[in-house]
Amino acid sequence: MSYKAVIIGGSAGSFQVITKILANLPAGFDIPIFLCLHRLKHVRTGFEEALSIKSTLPIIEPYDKQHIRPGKIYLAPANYHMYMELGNTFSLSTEPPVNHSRPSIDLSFFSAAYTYKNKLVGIILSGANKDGALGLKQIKLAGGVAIVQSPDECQVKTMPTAAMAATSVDYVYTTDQIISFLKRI
Amino acid sequence: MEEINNIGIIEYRNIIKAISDNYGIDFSHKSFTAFVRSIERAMVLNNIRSTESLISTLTTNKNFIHRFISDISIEETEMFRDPNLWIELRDNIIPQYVKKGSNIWVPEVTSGDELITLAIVLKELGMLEHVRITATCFGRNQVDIIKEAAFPIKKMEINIANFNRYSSSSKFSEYYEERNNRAYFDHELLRGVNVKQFEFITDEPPQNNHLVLYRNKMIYYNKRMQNSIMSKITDSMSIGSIFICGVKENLESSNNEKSFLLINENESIYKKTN
Repeated sequence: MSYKAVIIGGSAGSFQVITKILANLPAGFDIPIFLCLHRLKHVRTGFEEALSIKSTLPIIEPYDKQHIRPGKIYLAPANYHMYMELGNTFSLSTEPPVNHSRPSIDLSFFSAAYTYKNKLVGIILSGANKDGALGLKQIKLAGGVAIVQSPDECQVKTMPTAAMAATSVDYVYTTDQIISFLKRI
Repeated sequence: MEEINNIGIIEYRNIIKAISDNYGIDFSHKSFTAFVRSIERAMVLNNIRSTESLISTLTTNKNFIHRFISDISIEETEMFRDPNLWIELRDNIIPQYVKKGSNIWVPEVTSGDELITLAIVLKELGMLEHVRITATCFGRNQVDIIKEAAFPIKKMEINIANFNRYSSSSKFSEYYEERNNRAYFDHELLRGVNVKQFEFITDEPPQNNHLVLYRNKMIYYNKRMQNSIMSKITDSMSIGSIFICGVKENLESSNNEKSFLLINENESIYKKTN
C-alpha cells in the first residue's frame, strides 16, 4: 500500500455515508483512518458506539498523545480539535472553534497533510459549511490525493462544492466509488 | 483563515531558540501543531509577517515577551465545560474529599473559566470561604486578567447552556453583570483565591493539596514534559487527595500512574493512593 493514512471530513448528511464506508472496508485494511465529523459539543458519548455497530474495524476516540496504529478508525472527540503529529501520536487541542467547529475539519486536515504529505488520502463528504475546503487544498499542496463526495449524491452539497472551489480535486466520487477506491489502495 | 503550518520545523526551532537565548524560557517541550498555531496567532495579532521579523522583535524589544506570552496562551473554552464533571464534584467529590481548611490548586489558569466555575460550585456548597485556593498562571499579564474576571459576552451563551445542564438551584445571572459587551463576575468569588505567576520547570508548587484541577492543559506539552509536570503535581498532593484532568487526557503510560487510582473514568478523576 502506497498510502499511510486516510482522513475523512463530513458534516450534515454524512453519517449514513460514513456508516456505509466503514461497513464495507476489508477487515485487513492496514492503515489508519481519521474521521473528523461535526458533532454536538456537549454530547460526548454515543457517536463512537453508533459508528461501531456496522464497522468492520475498531473505532476509537483517541486520548491526547495516544499512539496511532494501523487498521484502526479514529474519531475526533467532541469539543476537541484532533491533530496527527510526527512520531505517530495524536495531540488534542481546545483552541477556539474554526468555521464554528471544534473539532474543525480544516485543522485536522492541515496537521495530517503536514505529517503524511504525499502518503495521504483526504476525503470530503456531505456537509453544510465550508470547513474542510482549505484543509483539502493543503493535502493537495502537500502531494496527497484529494477526493470529494459527488455533490449530486450529497444530502447537503455545500462542503464538497466549497472544497472543489478551493482546489482541483483528484476525484469526484459516489459513496460506492469511494469504497472501491479505498479497497484498491 | 490563514493556512497553518506555514512555519516549518527549522523556523520553529529558531523561534524557540531565540526565546530560550534571550529570556531563558524553554518552549521546546510544547506539542508541535498547537504551538505552531499559537505562534502564528501571536504574529497576526502583532502584525508580524515573517518568522525572521518575529525573531528580530523578540531579540530587540525586551518588553515584547510579556505580550507574546499572553498572545500565545490558549483561553479556556467555557464555564461548566463537561457539566457532568461539575455535578460529580458538587454531589460526591467535594463533600467527600474537600474539608474545611483544604488546599486546592488550579495550575496554568489562562482566561479563568474553570476557576470561576470551581468557585461557583464551592460557593453553592458553602465551602468557598473555608478552603484555600491557589491559582497559578504562566504569564505576568495573566494575573490581572484572571483577577478581573471579565469575559466576552459572546462566550456567555455556551456558559449559560452549560450552567443549565449543571442544573443548579441558583440563577447564573446572580454571579455576573453585563457592561460594555463583557460579563463581569462577582469579585467575591475570587476574593480568597491566591493568584500568582508560576513556572513548572523552575518554581516550587504549592504543597499539601487536597484537590488539583488541571484540565486540558497537559495536551499542550509533549509526553516528556507531561511526565515531569505530573511528578511535581503528584509530589504536591496529600495521600487520598483528588486529581482531575481533561476528559480526553489520562495518566495511562505516565510515570506517575502508579500513584493514582482512577475513580471516575468518564470524567478523568483520580485519587492519589501513595
